[in-house]
Amino acid sequence: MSFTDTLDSPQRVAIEPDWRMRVSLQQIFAGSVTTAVAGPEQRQAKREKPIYRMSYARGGLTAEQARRRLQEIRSEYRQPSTVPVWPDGIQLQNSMTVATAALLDILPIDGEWQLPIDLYFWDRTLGGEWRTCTAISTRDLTLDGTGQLYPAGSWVFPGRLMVREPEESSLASVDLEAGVEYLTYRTL
Amino acid sequence: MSRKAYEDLTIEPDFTDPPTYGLAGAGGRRDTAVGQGQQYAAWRGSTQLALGFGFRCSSNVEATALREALNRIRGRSSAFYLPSWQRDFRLAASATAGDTTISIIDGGLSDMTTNRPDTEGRVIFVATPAGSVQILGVETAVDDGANETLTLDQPLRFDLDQSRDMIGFAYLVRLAADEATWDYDAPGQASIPLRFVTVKNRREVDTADTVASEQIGELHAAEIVVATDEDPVLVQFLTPSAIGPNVYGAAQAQNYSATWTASFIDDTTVEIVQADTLETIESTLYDSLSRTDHLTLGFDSAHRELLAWHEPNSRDTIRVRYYAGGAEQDIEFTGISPIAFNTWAIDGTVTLGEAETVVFYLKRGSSSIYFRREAESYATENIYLYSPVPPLYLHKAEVNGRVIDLYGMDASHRAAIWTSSEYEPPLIESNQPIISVIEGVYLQVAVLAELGEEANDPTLSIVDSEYRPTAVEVEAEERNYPALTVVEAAYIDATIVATVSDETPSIGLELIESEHNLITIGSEDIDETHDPAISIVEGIYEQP
Repeated sequence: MSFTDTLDSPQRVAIEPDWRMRVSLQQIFAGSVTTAVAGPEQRQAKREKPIYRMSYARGGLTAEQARRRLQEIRSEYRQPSTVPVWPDGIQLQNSMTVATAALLDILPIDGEWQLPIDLYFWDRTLGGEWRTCTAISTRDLTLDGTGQLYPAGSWVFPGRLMVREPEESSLASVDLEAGVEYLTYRTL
Repeated sequence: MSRKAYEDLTIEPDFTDPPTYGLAGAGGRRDTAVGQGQQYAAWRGSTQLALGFGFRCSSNVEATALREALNRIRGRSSAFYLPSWQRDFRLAASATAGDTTISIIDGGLSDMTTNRPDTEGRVIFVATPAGSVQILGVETAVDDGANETLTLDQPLRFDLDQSRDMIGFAYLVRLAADEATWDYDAPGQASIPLRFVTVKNRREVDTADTVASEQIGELHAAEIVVATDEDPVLVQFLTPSAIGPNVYGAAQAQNYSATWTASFIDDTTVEIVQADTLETIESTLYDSLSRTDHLTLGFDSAHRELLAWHEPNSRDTIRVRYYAGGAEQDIEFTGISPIAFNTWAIDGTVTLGEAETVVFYLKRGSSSIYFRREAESYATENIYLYSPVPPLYLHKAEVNGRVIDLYGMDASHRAAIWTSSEYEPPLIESNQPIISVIEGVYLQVAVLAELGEEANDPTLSIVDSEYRPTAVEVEAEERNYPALTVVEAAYIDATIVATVSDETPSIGLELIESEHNLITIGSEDIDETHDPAISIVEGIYEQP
């Protein structure tokens, strides 16, 4: 009997948020502060980089889709997945002319892109697609493999390895009648 | 005196919801009521101010800047300067970029203490509606009647308009919580409320003290200690680096300059890798039964490694394993956070023989930094210095120009650096043999013997040539007189006289200018265990 090592090839899950309901991103550091009676403090940081917890909702599910999501969610709980960090999306400055290169319009957040990184490209007409970025030189991305050519203004969302966290009640994960699914992911 | 280099968080908050100001920790007051009487006692030395700001990012650039700032601040751990974002006082006159003084309308700053530049009220901010923000230290505040003239610690970066621009206090604060929650309407469009509390900073400025310390080889020990309020670096003690030889085990002419890194390849095996050539050696020195939590790597004068580590499962035992004459040796002693170092990495003018291999370490309950030297087989505990700031842990030793910097953390968890004084060439030292030189034409010379107290094995060689004659004095311990042997030859001159005093054992050698056909060598009381060889070689040489 063998157990799956899910870190070898995590599944990539991109469930797009309904931005009307906002996306919450929590930065969680760990530290300790000891304050003396006289006032001075001793402070420690126990985490170099924050853990992120991202919560959002998706809407527009039919009742049938919502019921099926309940089944699928169970598999998503089992293992970490690569998930787009929706708030950290960056737009493309130019239209892509080849499938292996793209130009961002701003630099990514310092230290948060660990290469190689899975990126989720999205455009309202072309839809979304996962690509793997193997190198980044300032704002120039080198992409692996082939894919669609996205126009200027398309979004690029960095993928992070995250685990899906249960909502307070598992019943609250999907609102069957309203067709809303609530998602909370936490980085490892 | 100047402010310390904390980060400035000058991102402008969103004033849609007004900033809030209050007191944290309920003021730290304890009331005691007995009958009708009531006593109020403040039990905390300071009451913290609490500041609450909402930030609103309307672009990816703004959101990235604030995210990166929060990532650097790391929750509650780091202090930084934060503008109060209100008009705490008013400008009495406009100022222009480059000015180092500004005039304000009776701000009361001249009443503040001047010897602690980081305390509240000594740091201000100026801001313009165009978004320029600068945090400035106030060096002096002079009350000239209605106004006060503030001397700033750096020039203004932009013009200030008396009727328009904002000036107020900047507080040394930290985040009130380790968690911060962003609310995104779209990528890059976000709002985030943050709450800050002021922190007390009682320190004056970077502490730089001169301390008494012991010399290591030709390296003077630490004379300057600087403790800063920087956050200590995150240090991994399982992959230590050290400056060592270019090629493992091979002699080299230049001082050590190559970087080697040690790491565990399993729980009990350490391998060391040269960073440039990737030469990899599996060290056999590590012999504890499990992996330590603190390993340090050094190199001895035979170009081989030495390892020192916290003995696993012991609270404060350092185990050192090293090579002595090709054999592995070990010793254990009480201490923590060992850092191995070879002073040959300091300066190329030191010879390998003059360099020393040492292990720095700390002992619990002591504010001194200790070291043991390989020349003493690590058996003798020496005090490197009595530190004015109590060291809690040593992180690394680094060559910095011609000095050695010991990095660590002091007892209040500040980064601290103990810096040695500059290296001085060895002949200046008074414990070196005294050499005097007399000019003249000689065909022969005697070369000094170096005698230490322990290693009484000088090798003397005598060389023919035209020389500036050299008179040499050698100090020797009692019964440790060098034996001189002479190969006779046709010489024109040279007389070597050795005199031995019973009371103060020393041999004086003198070279006297005259024509001689023979060499006289005196030697007495030769200890049978010490038989240094002197050989005289004929030939034409240009230099002794």
